[in-house]
Order: sequence, then C-alpha cells, then structure tokens
Amino acid sequence: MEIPYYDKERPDTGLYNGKAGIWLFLASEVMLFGALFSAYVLLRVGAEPGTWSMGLMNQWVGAFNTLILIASSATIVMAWVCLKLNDWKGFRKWKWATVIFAFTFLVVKWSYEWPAKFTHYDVTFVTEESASKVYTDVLGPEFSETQSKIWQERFDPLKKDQEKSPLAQVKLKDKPLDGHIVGYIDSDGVEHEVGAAWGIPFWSHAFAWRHDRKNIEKEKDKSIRYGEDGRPVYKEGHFRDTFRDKDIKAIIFVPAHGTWDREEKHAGSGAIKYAEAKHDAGHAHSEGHGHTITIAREDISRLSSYEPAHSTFFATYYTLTGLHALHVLGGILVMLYHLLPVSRRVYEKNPVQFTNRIEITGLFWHFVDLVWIFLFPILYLL
Amino acid sequence: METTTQPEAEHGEHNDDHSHGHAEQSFFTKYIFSTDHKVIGIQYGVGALVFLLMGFILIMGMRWQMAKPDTPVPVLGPILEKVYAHEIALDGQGKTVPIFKDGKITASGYNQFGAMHGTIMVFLAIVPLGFAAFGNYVVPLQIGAPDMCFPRVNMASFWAFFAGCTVMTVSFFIPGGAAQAGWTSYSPLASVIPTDGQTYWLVGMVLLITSSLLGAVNFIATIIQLRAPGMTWFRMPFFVWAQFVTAFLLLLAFPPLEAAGIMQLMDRVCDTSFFLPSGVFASGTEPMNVSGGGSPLLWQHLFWFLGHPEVYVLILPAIGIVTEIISNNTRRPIWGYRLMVGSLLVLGFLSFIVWAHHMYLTGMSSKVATFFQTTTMIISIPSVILLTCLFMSLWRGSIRFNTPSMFALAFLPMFGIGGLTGLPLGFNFTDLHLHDSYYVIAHFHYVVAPGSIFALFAGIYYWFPKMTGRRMSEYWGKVHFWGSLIFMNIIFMPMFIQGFAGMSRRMSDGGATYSMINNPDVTSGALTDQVMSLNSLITMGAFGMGLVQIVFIVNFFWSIRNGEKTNSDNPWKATTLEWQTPTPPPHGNFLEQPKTYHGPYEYSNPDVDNGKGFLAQNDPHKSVSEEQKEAEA
Repeated sequence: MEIPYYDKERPDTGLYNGKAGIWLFLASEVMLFGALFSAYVLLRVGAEPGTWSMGLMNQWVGAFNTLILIASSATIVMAWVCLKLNDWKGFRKWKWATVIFAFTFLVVKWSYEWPAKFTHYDVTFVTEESASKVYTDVLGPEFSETQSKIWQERFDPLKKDQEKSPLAQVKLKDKPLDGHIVGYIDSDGVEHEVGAAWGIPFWSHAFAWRHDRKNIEKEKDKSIRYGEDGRPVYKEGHFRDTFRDKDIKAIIFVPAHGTWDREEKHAGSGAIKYAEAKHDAGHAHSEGHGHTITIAREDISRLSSYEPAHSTFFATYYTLTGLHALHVLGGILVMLYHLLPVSRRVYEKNPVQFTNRIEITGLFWHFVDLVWIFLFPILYLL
Repeated sequence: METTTQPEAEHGEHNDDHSHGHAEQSFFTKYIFSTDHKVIGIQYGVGALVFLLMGFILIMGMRWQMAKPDTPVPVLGPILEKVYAHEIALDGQGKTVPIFKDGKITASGYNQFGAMHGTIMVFLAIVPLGFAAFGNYVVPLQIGAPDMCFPRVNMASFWAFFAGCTVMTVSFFIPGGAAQAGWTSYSPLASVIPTDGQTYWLVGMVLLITSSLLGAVNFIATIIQLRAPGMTWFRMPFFVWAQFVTAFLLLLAFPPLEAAGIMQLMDRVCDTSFFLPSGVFASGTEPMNVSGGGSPLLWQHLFWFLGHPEVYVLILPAIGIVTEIISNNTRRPIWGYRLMVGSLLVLGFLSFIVWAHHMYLTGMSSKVATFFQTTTMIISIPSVILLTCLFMSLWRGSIRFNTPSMFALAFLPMFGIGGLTGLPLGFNFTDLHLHDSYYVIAHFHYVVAPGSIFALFAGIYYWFPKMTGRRMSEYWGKVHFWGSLIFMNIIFMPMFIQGFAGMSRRMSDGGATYSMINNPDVTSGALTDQVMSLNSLITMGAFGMGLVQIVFIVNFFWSIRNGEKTNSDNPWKATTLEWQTPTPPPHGNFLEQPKTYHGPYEYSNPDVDNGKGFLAQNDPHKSVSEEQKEAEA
C-alpha cells in the first residue's frame, strides 16, 4: 500500500500530508519563539535602570534587512506561482532571487552587525571619583554633555521626561563609557597595539571582566578551582580574563561618542579605522587630552564588549537573532536543494508533488519572515 | 477477520510477499535505518527498555546509600569503582574522586544519579516507550494506515533520540561526571555548576526535544490524514485519541523548554545572565563575574510550562493502553467512550494552565496561587472521569485474568492513589508542608511507576503476540505482575509517611543528618527512628523489585523464540484493526486497503449474530440495529 494523500488533498480535511505537517511544525515554532519573546518581556520589565542598552542598534541596517526579507517572501511566492503555471525557468529565476535576498540578510547580520559589536566596549568604574576623573578631567565637559545625551538615547529610547527618567537614579560610575580598545600597557609599562576593528581577530581581545581583588591575585589556571575553604570556586579564572592572561595594567581606549562627528564615529558600525586612531593616540596620550585615554585597571569595575555576556539585552539580542538566523540558514539550504538537478527530476516525475514542496517551503519562509517582523521592532525600535 | 489468518509457521519469512508497493530492502534499511513505523517502534521500545533498566539501576544505588549511608555498595560497588576509576565527582572537600570511592557512593555521585534517574526515566524511558514505541507500532495499524505520514521524518526522529541518549550516557564518563542539578535543572545552580555534565544535559535535551517535535508532527499528521475509509473520529480506538492529545502536548509544551535550554546553554557557554540575578554569589566573598539582571524564576516558569503537560505525556498513552486492554478483556464496550474523549481533550487543554502549582514556594502572590489552585482542582475532574469510566467498564464484564489484563486492572487503583494524593499538593496551604518532601516522591511515583509503567508492561504483554506471533509466558508474567505490585507498594507507600514526617527528598544520607540518632539533644522536629527505619524497608523493596524485573527480562527474550505460538492473527479476539493484519504485519501493513464499518469496541453486542461474540472494525457484517437504521434511511 502506498501512503495516501502525499500529493493530493484528502477530501474531508482539504490538506495534503505535507501541508498538515508544516502547519503543525510551525505551531511548535510559534511556541519556541513565543517562549523567547515572553522571556524578553519578563527580563525587560525586570531590568534595572541603565542596563537595557537597546538604543545602540542601527535602525537603518535593521530596516534594510527587514525590507529584503519581506521582498524574499514575495519572490518565493512568485517561484511557486511559476511552477503552478508550469514555468520552470521562471521558477528558477524567482527561487534564485529568494536565495540571494536571504543570503544578503545573513551577510548583513553575521559579517557586519554582529562582529562590529564584538569590538565595541563598555567600561564602568570602581568609584565615583575614578569615573568623574575620566569623564570631566580627561575628556572634558563638552564630551560629558554629549555622553549624557547618548545615555539617554541608549537606555531610555522612548525619551521620557529627563528628571523622571529612571536613568537619573543611576550613579556616574555605573554609566558605561563606550568605545574601542586600541591597546594596552603591560606591567613593564610597555605599550601594545591590539587587533583589527572587525573581522576574524575579534575574539582575540573580546572579553568581559569584572573588578575582583581575588581575581587579580589568582594565578592563571583554567581547570576547576577551589577556594581556601576547599569548596569549588565558580566562574573564576575565566578564559576571557585577558587582564590576567596578558598581565595588563591599563587599557588604551577610544571613546566612540562625543569626540568625532557622528558619521565617522559610530563604532557600532565598525567603521573606525584603527590606524588613524592610533596615529591620533600618539600625541593625545602624551598631551593628556584628545582622542584616546588610558584607563588604569584599578579604576575599572567592569569591562565588556557587546558580546552576549555584556547584559541581558545583548544576551536576548544574540539568542533571538541567532536562532532566527539559523532558521534563515536552514531555509537557504532547502531552497538550494530545490535548485539542484535532482529536483528537476522530481519535478518531471511528479510536478504536483514538487510544487507542493515549494509551497511548504514558502510557508516556512513566511514564518521566518514573520518572526523577523516581530524581532525588528522589539530589538531595534521600541 | 479470520481470512488473514494463516496456518502456523513462518509468517516472518513471507513478509516480502505481502509488501506490495515496497521495494526489497537490505539488512540496513530494514532493521537499522528503517523507515517502517513498526521497526522504528521496536527500536524505540528496545532503547527505552534499556534506559528504563539503567534508570532503575541508578535508583538502586541511591536507595542503598539512603538505607546504609557511607557503606560500600555490595557486589556492584567494587565493579563500578573500576569502571569509574578516573576522578569525576566532587567530594565536598575540594577534591575530585571516583563516584564510587572505596565502593561507597559519594554525595556528588548521589546527586548525579538523582538528576540522571529523573531525566532518564522521564525523557529516555517512559515517553519513548509509551508515546514513541507503542505509538509508532500501534497507531498506524489501528487507523488502517500503511505507515506513518512521513516515514523518513520518523526515522530522523528516532536517530535524534538516539543521539540525545548517546550524549546523556556519555556525560557519565566525562571529567566531573553527569548533570547534578536535578532533572529540573533549576538555575542559578545549573547555570553556575562548574562541571560540564550540565552542558551535556542541555545538548542532550535539545536533541531529545527535536526528536519529540518530529515525532509529534508525524503522529498528528498521520492521525488527521491517514485514517482508513470509514475510520471517523469517533470510530478511532481510545488509544489513538490518547496519542493524538499526547502529540499535541509534546508539540506545544516542549518548545518552551527548548527555549529555556538554549538560554541556559548561553548562560553556561557564553556567560550570559538569563537566569542569574544581579550580585549573585556562588561561592567565596565576591559576587560572580556576570552582568546579572536575569531571573531564576524565568527558568522555573519555562521548565514547568513543559513540566506539567509532560506529566500527561507520561500518563495519557498509559491510559490509552489500559482502555484497549480492559475493553478487550472484559469483552464489553468501554463505558462512556465519548465522555472519555471529551475528558481527554479538556485534560490536554487544562494541562497548559496549571504549571505554577509546582512553584507555590517561590513567593508568588496569593492571587496567582489562587488561579493555579483553581485550575489544578478543575483538571482533576477530567482525570477522575477517565478513571471512573474505566472502573464502570468492569461492571458486569466477564473479565479474563491474563497478564496484560492484570497489569491494566492494577493500574486503576494505583493511578487512583497517585491522583488522589496529588490533591494536597495542589493546594498551596498544604503544599507548604509537603513541598520537596518524600510525600511528593511517593505521589508522582504512584502515577508514573505503578501507573504508567504497569500500563506499559500491560501493553508489552498485550501486543507482543502481534509483533512476534508468540505469547509471553503467562505463568512468569503473573509472577512478574504480583511481584511488581507488592514491591511497588512496599517501596512507595512508606514514603508518604516519611514525607508527612518532614523528610526532605534531596539528602544523600537518607535524612540521617536530621535523625534523632544523630541529634540526641533535639526533642522535636528530628526524624524518629521509626521514620528512619522505613529507609531499609524501602531499599529492600527496591531490590526485590529488581529481582522481579529479571523474570520479565528473561521471559521477554525467551518468548521471542520459544513462546507459545498464537496460531492466529487475532489471539485476543480483539476488534481493532491492528489485529486484522498478518502477523507480524508486513511493510505496508495491510494486504488491501481496510475499510471501517464500526466503532472500536463492539464486544458482546446482542444485535450481532456473526458467531464470534465480537465485531471487528473492518467486518462488513451489520448489527441488527445498524440494518434497521439503514432501512429507515
């Protein structure tokens, strides 16, 4: 016996098997993303003032990605229509268009948006004195003014009344100074330059570090460790504790905002050229003012690039966009399979079955598109 | 129909003759990478039975530790000490030691066994056995389908399960050993625990969830799309209904756990703080090096959003099996079939809105607690209806007391005890006292051990003749049944008493720390000698239970080749379609497209005069009342 209804509709349900299957699968996917969206709501509602740093997103890049994903949803329908009209060439044309759109989406996400964030750092300070020293003495009052506008934009994007803003309660030392690390000074006072702005080497100096006296004194050891009381010590001696690995005494830092014009400086785009910054840094460093600053290790309470460990916002951002991007990748692989010669043979053998496959792929693709349409506002706009 | 019955011998060898429309298969495609739902069902079944045994061995080790804290485990201890020779458990003094140090189970080893016992029993044993194994084998047969809707997806589901099982098993042998944070993996503990077992656990869970997703889609699509002509919704056997609802629970409840698992994996691998609040201390005097801002409660919500429907995933296939067997062995229609189906659907829906009754002690507001208490009490109504219908079905039946029917009958009171003792846990004011005590253990084990597992044993004894053409030994089956029934109650009944006395469920010394023996100055609140002495009784029960299962294992394998031949495709004289095929069914199942004319339980219908006492679903013979109805129309 053959399995019935694999290519034609069952009269009483009006579905062929694949369509029933994909709708059930999508129901499950709705629950998966629904749970993550719920987690987003719960974490955001519970977030302390000055920790939900969503104002950093480049909305135009996000909007561009939204547009091409919507466009790809249209082209995949065209591919299906062509098959319905027995137009194989038209099908291939529209299918390729869909793949190219999807691929562009991933390129923007994975080679532009994510890596740029991995080289962008936040510094918070141990005491109010160390913070104000950096903000007013080194960077000057003009910078501080610009910086406070940026905090407002970043942590309170809905721009509530300045005085009622929850940001007013956050101490200066806990407000992050953002920018790029261009170098560090080791224990012998020797200055070192670090990696490119973006590209492969970003992991080499991406790290999250927190001021911790014990942490500073501990020797490098990557295995499980035990405290003096004999109990295991959790999460100490972390692999990304570059301070200890390289024996860093101070970092050389380029604040991303306030020192350059807005077009050039927005480091979230990864557009800063380090050679330039370094060149400027030379005299700035010796003069004591200018584009780069040196922040001593003792003054830093937490240093983190915009990686998942940075904050619950970025954790949510990477998890949601990452899971969505995996769905896009899966869709691309399936669509490429439909463009292989083997699919032509399936089509010739049973055109109805093949057309159904394209319809099902389309349903999945619309779902992926729909998820992004929810992700874009909650991560970039609201 | 008796027409498919062949005289004796070698149905097996002629299988290929029956498989119209299916190509010849090599050994690999037939038995290993098979797309045949029956082979996949058996693969699932064997895998699940292996893990059922493994989960049981883990708990026997724990029971020994509870009865005789810090004494070497007899026989097994020295052997396992050699197996676990490398240092993988923490001894509490900052050193890694073997799980079995000097043949004794370390506290960390006990935690691993506890976490993995729960995980293995729930996700690797009972769900695969009840849902995947029986579902795969029986559902397409019962609805008259040639296979599942998506055979290759079905195979993918099994291999994802296999991969998940492999990861879980391997995690015992990595440095630090398996997960130790309990089967619920509560954060922050599970997020910060320094060994890698928890990470393996999460990866394993993602694979198992993928497997269950693929399986659930397949089951629902199959039941919607592939019902044979005439197999209307209310002609489906109740077992199919139970699988249908179970599949929906898996489809919709598991993804939130997957989301939670992904987030915990991010916490562990990428150092995020989804479940870690600001300023959390794990050890020492400094807060952890994390951003904070997360919510430990988020994990509990997401976990129990799966966790509660999961309870019904464990029990609904069991109720389905019991319904089939009771109807068949009382030779009567099920009482209130439509009522049961309705209850099942209500139960499935309500199971999504009761989850927070696992979390009364998290400090939720009384309004929230009231909501969840109410829904919890409401959900007991359909459960009671199901059980009552099954009891009513026994009324005036002429019951055949064979092994499957005895297991199915024992299921009813055992599940009843489990269900009724759940009510005090559903009210937050009684739960305050009973939470996290042995009372909870006793309650849910009455539901899943003498409940689900008895039903699964019943199913194995019942469908074994369809799979092999031979029966399992009735004598040894009854030994297995009576032994299991007695020992189950010896194990779990005393736990109610221990729970009332306040014994916590998470102590590796069985509560000795809080006993009167070790605290002679404490006059009240310490565990009395009587309560403590129950530990030995329970452990003896557990080891007795183990002995009885050996009978089952031997019986099972012996009967595959040497069991009594059934000489019939329908040895139980059943009405449902799986018995109207050759034995064992060939690839493609039916020799011709079956048509369904009747409901699933047409036993002892006085209107019928076909001379058999039952009316198979595909028997075109009409009952007198059906003829009258047609004449009127």
